[in-house]
Amino acid sequence: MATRDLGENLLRLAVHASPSGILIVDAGGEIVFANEALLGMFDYELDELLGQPVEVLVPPVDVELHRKHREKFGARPVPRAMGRRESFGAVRKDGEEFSVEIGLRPTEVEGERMVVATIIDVTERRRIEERLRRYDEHLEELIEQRTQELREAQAQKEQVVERLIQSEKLAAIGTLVSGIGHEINNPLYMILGTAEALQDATDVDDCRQFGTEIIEHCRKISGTVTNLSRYARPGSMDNTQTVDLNDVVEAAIESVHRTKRSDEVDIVWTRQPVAEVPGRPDELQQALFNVIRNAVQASGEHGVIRIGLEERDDSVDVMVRDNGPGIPEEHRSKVFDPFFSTKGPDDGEGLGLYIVRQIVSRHGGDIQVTCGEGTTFTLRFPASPKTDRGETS
Amino acid sequence: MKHQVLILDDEPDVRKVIRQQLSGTQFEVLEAAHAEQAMDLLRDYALFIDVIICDVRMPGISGVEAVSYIREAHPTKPIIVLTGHPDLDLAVDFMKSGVVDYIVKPVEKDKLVAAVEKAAAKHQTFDPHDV
Ligand SMILES: Nc1ncnc2c1ncn2[C@@H]1O[C@H](COP(=O)(O)OP(=O)(O)OP(=O)(O)O)[C@@H](O)[C@H]1O
Ligand SMILES: [Mg+2]
Repeated sequence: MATRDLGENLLRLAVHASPSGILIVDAGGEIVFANEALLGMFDYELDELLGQPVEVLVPPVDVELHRKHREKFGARPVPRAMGRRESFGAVRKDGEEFSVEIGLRPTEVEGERMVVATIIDVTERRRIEERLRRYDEHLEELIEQRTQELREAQAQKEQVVERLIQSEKLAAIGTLVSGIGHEINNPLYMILGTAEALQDATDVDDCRQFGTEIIEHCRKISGTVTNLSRYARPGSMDNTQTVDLNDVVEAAIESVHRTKRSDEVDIVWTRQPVAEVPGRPDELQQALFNVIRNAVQASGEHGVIRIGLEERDDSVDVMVRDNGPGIPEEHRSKVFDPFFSTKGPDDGEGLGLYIVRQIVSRHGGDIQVTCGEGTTFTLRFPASPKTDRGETS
Repeated sequence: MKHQVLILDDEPDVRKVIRQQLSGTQFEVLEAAHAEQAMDLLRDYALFIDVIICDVRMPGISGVEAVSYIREAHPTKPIIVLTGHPDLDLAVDFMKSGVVDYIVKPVEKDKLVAAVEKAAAKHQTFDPHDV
């Protein structure tokens, strides 16, 4: 269908009715047409603009730049659509500046090159965008602030936990001291009382008797201290036997089975032919018991604990692996410290691994902990010299 | 008449030392090795016992329980707690329950005698039998 030839008046009407400003500029940059929207936007009468360089609509600081752009565009006119979100400065008759978005369409009218510019006022939109941006920034600030607060709260929580661990240590020391206190203060009291009696005694036989009693009580105290320090420092290793670690592991597992929560886990273990080691069976069993019980406590329900024995060159390794949560990096250096425990006061005094390390080192061995999926404790003991083993391998 | 002190302690050696420390004073000693025995003695000799010295750590009925029984049956008898291990919380509990003194072993003769004398004086002030 052919385009209907609309009368010039009708077209003019349409152009003036457009909400966008429309401006036609000739090759020399002079304004040859402006619609009503444009006149309203820039606050001019039509005859004030006609024949004027388009730069009257550009803020003074941008005039030079605008002229260069216009010349470049004139040499290579390519249509530029609106909506590129790029805004330019514009200036009203009274000098007030505002932001516009501009679309350009080069055209030719009766052999002369012209540019039709479509212009919209984006001041309001820019203001809203600016506000949105600021709001965004504020939000980010808010989020940053909240994260910071959370971080601080977390740090505080960790401090509390750390303090709790400390107080557990103190509680453990408390129970220990209360036991020691009783064991030592009673005989001390006896010594004191007897010495007082000795001061007042006149009979030589009485004095002898008091002396004997005091010595007895002193021996009692010294016995208590010896008992205590058995675990506190490497004692002598007299009376060692040749021990099959298979038996030790088996006995330790049996004792673990008698503790609470041990039925929730699977202890996987088979005897392995390994060299015997010199040692004290009861102590070795205690060490293994402590390690296996920790594994049970760490892995909880559906836990699987694998225990393996392996002979190396001159030593035997006992490995106890669990599928628990592992030991956090920052705790790994502390687990062997006396009274280090992350368990409640009912579940742990933090002496287990301390004792293990004492026993292992007394046996000339070594203990390692590695964390992968769960935790593996490896106890290494030197094997008995081959001649002692009574076998020819 | 001499005042009577009842010693409740499971260890004969401790009872012996207390007896020794109180010998030559105005106090005479009765011994009980456990709470039941102490209650029996108290029932039979209530009028003559002025002070009770009680240990904390004992097998069976503990010192804490023993104190509460004695307080219930004989509210005016002064009790001195003698312990091998000082425990602040426990001490406070004992004092609240009406114990007159809390002494830590080992205690020297003079201090023990002074404590018993003080307790006995208290008994005299408050004993309804004396009124
Ligand atoms: N298999 C394991 N998995 C995870 N953590 C472990 C394991 N073994 C030990 N730990 C950690 O090491 C700490 C110290 O262990 P240790 O055996 O010395 O003391 P405990 O088990 O807390 O108390 P105790 O053994 O005296 O009853 C534990 O509290 C725990 O945090
Ligand atoms: Mg443990």
